[in-house]
Amino acid sequence: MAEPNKQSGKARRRRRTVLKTSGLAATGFLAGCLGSGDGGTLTLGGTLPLSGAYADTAVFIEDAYRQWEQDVNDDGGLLGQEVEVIIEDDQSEPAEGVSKLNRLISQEGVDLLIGGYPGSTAAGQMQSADENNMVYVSMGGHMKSFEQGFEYVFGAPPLMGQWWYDGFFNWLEQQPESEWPTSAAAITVDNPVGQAVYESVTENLDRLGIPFDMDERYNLPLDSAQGLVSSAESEGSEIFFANGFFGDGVQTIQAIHDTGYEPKAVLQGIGTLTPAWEAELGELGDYVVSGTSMHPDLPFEGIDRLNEIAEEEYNRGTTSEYFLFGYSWMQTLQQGVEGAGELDQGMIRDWLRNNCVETVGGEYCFDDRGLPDPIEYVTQVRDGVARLVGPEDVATHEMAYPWYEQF
Amino acid sequence: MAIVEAVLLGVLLGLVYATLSVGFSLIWGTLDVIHVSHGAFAILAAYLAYTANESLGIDPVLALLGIVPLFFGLGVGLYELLFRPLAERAQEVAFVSLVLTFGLAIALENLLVVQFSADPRVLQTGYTREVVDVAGVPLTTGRLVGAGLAVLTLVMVYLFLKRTYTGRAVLAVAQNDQGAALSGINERRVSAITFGVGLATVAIAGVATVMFWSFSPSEHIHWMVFVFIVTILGGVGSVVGATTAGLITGLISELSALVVPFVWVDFILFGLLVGLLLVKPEGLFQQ
Repeated sequence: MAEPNKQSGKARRRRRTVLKTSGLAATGFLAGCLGSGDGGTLTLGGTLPLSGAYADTAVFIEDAYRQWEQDVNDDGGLLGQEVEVIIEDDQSEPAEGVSKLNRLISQEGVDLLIGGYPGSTAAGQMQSADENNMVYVSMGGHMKSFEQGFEYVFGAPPLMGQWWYDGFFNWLEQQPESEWPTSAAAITVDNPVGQAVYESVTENLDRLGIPFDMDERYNLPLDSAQGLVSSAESEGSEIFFANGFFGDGVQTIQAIHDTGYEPKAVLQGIGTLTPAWEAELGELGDYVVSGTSMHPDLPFEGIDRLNEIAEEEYNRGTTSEYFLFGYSWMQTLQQGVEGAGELDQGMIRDWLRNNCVETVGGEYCFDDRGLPDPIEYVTQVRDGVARLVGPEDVATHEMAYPWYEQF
Repeated sequence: MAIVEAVLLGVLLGLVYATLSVGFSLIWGTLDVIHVSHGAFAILAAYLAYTANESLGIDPVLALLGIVPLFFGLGVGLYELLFRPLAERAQEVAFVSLVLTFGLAIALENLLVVQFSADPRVLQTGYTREVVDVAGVPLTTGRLVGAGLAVLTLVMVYLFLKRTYTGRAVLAVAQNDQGAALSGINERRVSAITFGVGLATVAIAGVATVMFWSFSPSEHIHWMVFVFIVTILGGVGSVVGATTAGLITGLISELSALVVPFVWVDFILFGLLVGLLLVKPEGLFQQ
């Protein structure tokens, strides 16, 4: 069972922040009129799904924002001023996230913006931020959101479905061609996330000349995966893509085991990196491959410290990817502000466009779209934990292949 | 083989849909209350069974021995505190109940998030992942147990309504509450019992459903989609209707995937529903 999210240290900080936020809200308009930098506190505002469908993973991002806030203030603040992170609950509704962000910008007058989650909310907020000429660092909403001509948005890292399986296929390409799967089956959730991940499938299959046997879309909820899996099995598909979320992924993985289907590889869209995959599936979810833009085993500065903090303060074995995402976005924003030397959004934007940043996720150098170079980490679940299996310079485990020989 | 598998899976799925819906249909048909929080209560029951299993080592089916009476009492209490006053004051009970129970569903969802977190859960026991061969189709014991619970529930509700005095009184109130009162039926008591039975069935349905799917606090919205389809298709207030419509829904979901792209399955399902409503707006077995 997942650990309850009740930590005394976090509760104290939350109470303190609520009190501060209440006071701040009461004088927020006045503070905004005074202009940035004149008061003693810099306000960073944004939204997260603290309730609703995405609350289970957003809580890690909230923890990251609070941790960053504490770290920066302990280190003397940002531009010599204490930072105050204001997080409003968008209830997992993108429209609510956009509305609240607009309010934070126009009425609360926050000095800086923090990234939202998930991608559907972030995509909407990217537009708001850009329209208000404010820098916005987040996961984005896959490739389409970064190709809108926005000037003020950055993914550091982005969560990019279009890159999702690149690392796995790069690894596969290094293997003898006789070991490649001869055909593929894919089931894809019919929404922007599924579509983004699906593009990674089709591009790479085309590149390697692997044809589809089965290619199905589905709407949530997926009431039964067994028929689809049986269909893939009867076609003899040697690689199976489950381009969906946790719930449908669980069904699919269970159905693969139940039917005795033996593909060479099983790849899952979203879900293997959430704590619930580990906690609820156990061995059943082992050897499933996925992609990621972030991982607690990456060899970059700061990750070990955050892992220690995760264990001591948040009672988790290692910090989650979502925590690291949030922390990396804040580090990026921080370096942009420090690099610019002031709170001018245009100068922060220009500094980020022309310089690279170093975060717990590594080095990011941004192109005109606000994207770093493609991130091609590969994970594979081992004993319930998603481990890094590629690329070689970051891998902590070797890829176990083919899938069916592992059981 | 694909057809056999689709039929078996469709029947199992359909039984779960039927059990999720029968209480909802009964409440709507008898009390004119559109209980949108029905799915949220199913999730609550699932969490209680999950907790009993994980923390106390109590099998989720056995846990129902405590959960079902609890939910029956909860249903009676909710009727007395919320819906009886509503029925006495509101002119459009159905509409107002829809809004009220929507709020109740959201409140319950948030309560579940606070208590259990929003993390998805998978109900697992020593037998849920065992696979048995049924006519050449691999089926998990968990699904078979869930379907068994569904069948038991549907049969018990049917027998309750048809073979007991209170059950026949429920049907009488559903058909004509004033006529029932004139016949000496205590309409208030019968209505409270109806709500209690409705919630008791959804408790079983919640456990049966999570033998099939993972669950989280927000899942109730998805489940309610099927509940509405089955209830409207089967006819409000009809146990036979809910059972038949549940099976039809399950079978269409599985069988249509054999002949059309899977993404069209929902289109076919809703198309069938619209078509039926045009021909028979009261549903298949409206009481």
